[in-house]
Amino acid sequence: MAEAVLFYLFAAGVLAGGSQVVLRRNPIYGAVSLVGCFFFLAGIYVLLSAHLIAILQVLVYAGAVMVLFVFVIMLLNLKEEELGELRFTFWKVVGLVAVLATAAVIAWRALGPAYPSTGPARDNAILLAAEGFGGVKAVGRTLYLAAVLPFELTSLLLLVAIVAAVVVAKGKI
Amino acid sequence: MEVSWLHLIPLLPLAGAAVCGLLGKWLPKAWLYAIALVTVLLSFCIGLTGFLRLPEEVPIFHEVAFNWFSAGSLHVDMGFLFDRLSGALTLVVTGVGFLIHVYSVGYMDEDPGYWRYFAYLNLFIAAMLTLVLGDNLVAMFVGWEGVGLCSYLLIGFWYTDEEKAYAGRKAFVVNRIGDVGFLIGIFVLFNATGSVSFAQLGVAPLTLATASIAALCLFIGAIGKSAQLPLYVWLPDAMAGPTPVSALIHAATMVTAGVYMVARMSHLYTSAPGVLALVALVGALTALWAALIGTAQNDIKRVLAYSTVSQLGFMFIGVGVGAFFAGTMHLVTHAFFKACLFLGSGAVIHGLAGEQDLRRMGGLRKYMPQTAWTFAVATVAISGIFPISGFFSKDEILAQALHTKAYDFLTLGPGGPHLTSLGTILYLVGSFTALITSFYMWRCYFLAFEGEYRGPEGVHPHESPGIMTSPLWILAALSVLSLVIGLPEPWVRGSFLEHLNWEHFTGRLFSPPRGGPPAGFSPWPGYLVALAIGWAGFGLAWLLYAPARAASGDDRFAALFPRLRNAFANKFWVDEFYDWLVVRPLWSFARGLWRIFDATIIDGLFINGSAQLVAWVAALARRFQNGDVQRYAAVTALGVLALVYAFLLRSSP
Amino acid sequence: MNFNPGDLYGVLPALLLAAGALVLLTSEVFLRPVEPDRRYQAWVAAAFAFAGLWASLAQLGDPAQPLFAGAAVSDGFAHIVAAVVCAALFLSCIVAFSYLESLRATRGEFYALALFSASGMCLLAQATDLVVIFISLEVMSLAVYALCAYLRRGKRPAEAAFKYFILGSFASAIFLYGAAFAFGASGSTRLADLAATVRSGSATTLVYASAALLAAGFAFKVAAVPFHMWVPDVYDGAPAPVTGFMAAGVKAAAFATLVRILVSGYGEGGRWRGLIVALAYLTMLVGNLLAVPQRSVKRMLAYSSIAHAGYLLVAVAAMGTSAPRADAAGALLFYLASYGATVIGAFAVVAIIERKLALSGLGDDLSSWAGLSEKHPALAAAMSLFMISLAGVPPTAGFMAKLTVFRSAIEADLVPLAIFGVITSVAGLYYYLRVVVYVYMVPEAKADAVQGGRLLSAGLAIAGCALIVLWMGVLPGSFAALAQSGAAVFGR
Repeated sequence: MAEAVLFYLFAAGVLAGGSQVVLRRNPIYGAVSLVGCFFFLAGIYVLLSAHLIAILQVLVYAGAVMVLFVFVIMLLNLKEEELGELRFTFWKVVGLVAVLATAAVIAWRALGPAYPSTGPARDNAILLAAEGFGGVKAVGRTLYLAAVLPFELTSLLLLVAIVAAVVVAKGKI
Repeated sequence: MEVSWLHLIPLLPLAGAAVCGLLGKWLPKAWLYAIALVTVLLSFCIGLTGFLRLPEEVPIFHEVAFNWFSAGSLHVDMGFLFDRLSGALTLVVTGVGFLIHVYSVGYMDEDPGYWRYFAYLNLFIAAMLTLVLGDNLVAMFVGWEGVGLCSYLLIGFWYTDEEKAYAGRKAFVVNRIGDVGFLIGIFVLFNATGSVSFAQLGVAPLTLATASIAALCLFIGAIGKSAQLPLYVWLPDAMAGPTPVSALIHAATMVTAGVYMVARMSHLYTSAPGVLALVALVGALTALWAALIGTAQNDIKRVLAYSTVSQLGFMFIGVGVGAFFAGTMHLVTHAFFKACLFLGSGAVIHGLAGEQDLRRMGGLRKYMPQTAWTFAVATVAISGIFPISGFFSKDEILAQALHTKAYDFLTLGPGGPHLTSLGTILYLVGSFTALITSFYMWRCYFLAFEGEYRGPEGVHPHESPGIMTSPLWILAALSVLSLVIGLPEPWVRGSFLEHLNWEHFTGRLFSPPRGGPPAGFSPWPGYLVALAIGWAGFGLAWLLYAPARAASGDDRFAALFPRLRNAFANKFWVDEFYDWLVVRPLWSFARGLWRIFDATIIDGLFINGSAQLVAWVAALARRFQNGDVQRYAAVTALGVLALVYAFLLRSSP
Repeated sequence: MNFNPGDLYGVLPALLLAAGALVLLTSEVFLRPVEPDRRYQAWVAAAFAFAGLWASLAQLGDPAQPLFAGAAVSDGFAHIVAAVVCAALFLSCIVAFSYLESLRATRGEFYALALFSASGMCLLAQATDLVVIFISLEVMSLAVYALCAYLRRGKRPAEAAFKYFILGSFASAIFLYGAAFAFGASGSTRLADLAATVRSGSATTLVYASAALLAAGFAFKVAAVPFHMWVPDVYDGAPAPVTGFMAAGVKAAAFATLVRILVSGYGEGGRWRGLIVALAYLTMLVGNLLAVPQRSVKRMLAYSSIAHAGYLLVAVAAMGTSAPRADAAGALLFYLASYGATVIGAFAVVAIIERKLALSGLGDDLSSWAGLSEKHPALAAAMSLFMISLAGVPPTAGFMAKLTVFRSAIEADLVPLAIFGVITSVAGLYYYLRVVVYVYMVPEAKADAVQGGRLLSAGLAIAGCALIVLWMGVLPGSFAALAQSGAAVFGR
């Protein structure tokens, strides 16, 4: 019961933070909202007994990555008038409606039948935690054995991202 | 017999086309001409050698050049089939093609794009040879598309921008409709029989429904390519290219492809008697329709274009009544005299510095006697006047139509009346068309070559150089000589001419119609009627269009009609009468046909309709594709919604 | 579940390509700081692409086996796709050499990025795990986004790349959402586990939601309508050699993955087949229709690429029934190869013309193609060949490809779809032949010839493409056999 209450609390926080990131015109507000979003997400991870991931989420994203973001935003030093106003055009509304409708259809036709609300939810998390789920060892085993290919590929992806960023950011060719 | 040289026949002109097209600009003119001409001539020689050496027992040369592709159960060889039909057509294509090449050397000499022209011409011949020699439907389709592509290139050769957009589009839309039919027909046949080769399709048992659908689809292709109702409209416009090209398209290649295909697929068509009747009906209607329109045209090439449409209609009557030999025989003879006519008209246009209007010609026989004579011979042939080739081949078609048994068991709906009289109707329509054909062709001849010169001032009509007139003479001679293939079998039985008789010659090639071939009728009644018709058409034309030269007189023609002339003592009155009774209604009827059908339905609906569709689509595209990312994302999101909704809706318990 | 070093051999083409990219990036260090000569890079990249091609063809005969505990697979299907990708990269490198050199825009990262993206494509074709698919997809996509933005003269390339990036990220997010549902339904990201869940009959509605979302994500990458909106702008804005590579490589990899997900993951296609059929109808119709009014050849080719995605979807739909599945997969592979050769050739010619336009400051319009046959008959002939191949006229690769695809559709009882495909492809002739008309018939307005000099390498690539197009059209036997052997993994 407490788990459910917490989950809805965190989920609402994630959604609120995420929508603020999109809707705020001032990037600093956006960045701070994102930090909040990350914290709530970490909370959800904790509820799932994914403790290591939760800590990494806070350390790496909320800590390191966001600091970089804030640096970049400060370096850009955008003026208020450069930020523009939030406008709702016809197609934005269409897109919003389409996305919400998709979510509604999925919730109604897919999630509803797949997880019928019969009785109180089992506390899977506690059972899993007893098996060492979410700890360093379990994550490490998954990462370096079952998921070794995606893990290695990620390094390739990061390298490509760096090179691509350099190419795009460099002066005119 | 399996041989290994057949691929050379289409390959040589193809090589010529490649050389001319890629290097032609830098080659000396003489070399270019030599390459273009020699490759076609070599093809002809190979074809001729093969033709003469066809074994008597199984007169087939076959070559599997290579295994084209096998995808699953579909196994297609790029093979060539050289039997008496495709062999004869090979000779016609390369022979007439070569003469047109020779003629073009004179005709196109001053055009700066001559090298492109010769490249297209060779490509055209290569494509047509592939069509004729292919041993399966897919190979035939290769040639089918090839000639379509080449005609598209050649028709546009001389266009100014405005016209090109229009006529090109016309030829294009119309031919595409036919192509769709042809492709679907191939798929249907493959699905039913598991094969596309003629050898297997020629014996494959087919249900009536399958055969009918496949035959109908293929016939739609034939309608498009062979310019039959309702898809004939592109052909009269196709004559806007250089005249030798028109000769090639109209006479030796391309438009005869449909007739050839129907004859080649005789097994399929005889398995679908209903479609066979439709083929004959469409042919008869087209023949009549185009002949009527032909009487009202003043452009010399347009007259010839409509006459081609009309003659193709005759060929379809021939194959449609199950007399495949008659249809293909007319195809061969028509190739000679129509090429002669078109090249003759080209010589006239050349000599008159581009003038094409019959009303601004006249008296040209004095200035260009060779052209006039050859044109006259070809006109005799197409009018079906005894004894030149057209007479025999056209009459064979009509006689076969009259006596056909192909429709004896066909009924109009279940339990309806039998269609036994269809043959007679076809005969009557055909004969009437023959009359009109003779009339308008002679009208064309008289207007162009007889009477006084009415041409533009300052233009001095002159005979064409020898390189242009010699093909005319050869073609005229062929128009006459090809009569031997049409002589009735009883006349030649036992003599060496029997081997040349087309019916005998192609005897085992075609499947007989379900009612069996007509037999044991005497050709004489038909010949007498045909003779009368041919001359009647001539007479009508002469009465109307030859008064100006009555004084000088052509005694040979005049002597044949003394009574008729006396009967209509007052020529002026005859003219008036005829004008009131026949010409005016005919003219307005023909104009009406043209206006309603060509101008409104085809041009308005298909051609302009497609142009409007393009404009509408362009507007639509601009509306959605305006570069706005949010719009793109919104459309994408809508797509996701649709996909998710569709998936989940279908998965509902 | 231990790491087996032998598995690395299974992903050899991708490894070779990635190694090539690293070599190129490292070699930058050794260049002169002033006016470095980078011409070697195109040839090194081409050499690695060729090595990748050789590796994927050499592995073709190997028996299919799972790699990295089922995260990827080494089978004929993947090898053929890898071969197509490597061949496309090889040809594109040669085209790009002359293009970039003449614009003086050669820089080290270009070829490295191309190699990286090709490496991602090869992995994509091999991936049988949704996470691996996602990461490979991003490796490919990120590199391609950057390649699109590579040449930034004027606003268009940067804008195109940015649009591509935004919309591509959106599609990736949709894919991830679907992957999450698939995990929720089956408890695993492996396609094999997903298939087991579907087969066991215990599939919940989550499975279908995941199928829809995964299909939507890849429908975006293959440019199926209505996920096609980005295509014209991106194809138009990107440098022509990149566009050609994108059209050939991205399409091949994305289709391979789409097939992998749908067939290996969701099995018997009762459910997804209907939707793919609907997408195919829509894509063939819209692609062909919207291509008609285009006057820019690049945009026309962009819409044509949408239309071709429709024909490829016909083959995918035909894989929904088990009987002709291997045939349909063979048809798909053959189509991908033929389309790749044709479109790279076409964009190589476009690159030459575009270079001319870039130097003279004109916009891309059909009128700039007028009279090409007078100046460059060989170029004109090649362009005409590519156009009629795209239109599906015999005897070219395009015709063979369409024939096999439609035939497999008929065998899968999708006759109306095949007929619709025939009709639209015949209608498509209209806009393809218009290019031929301009090339051959319309006299040139101004006499400005294509710049000579570095035409040679692009010319070689064009000749190579033309040769393949003709070869696949006239003697498709060996290619068809290759495609069939690659398709054999989908059963017989």
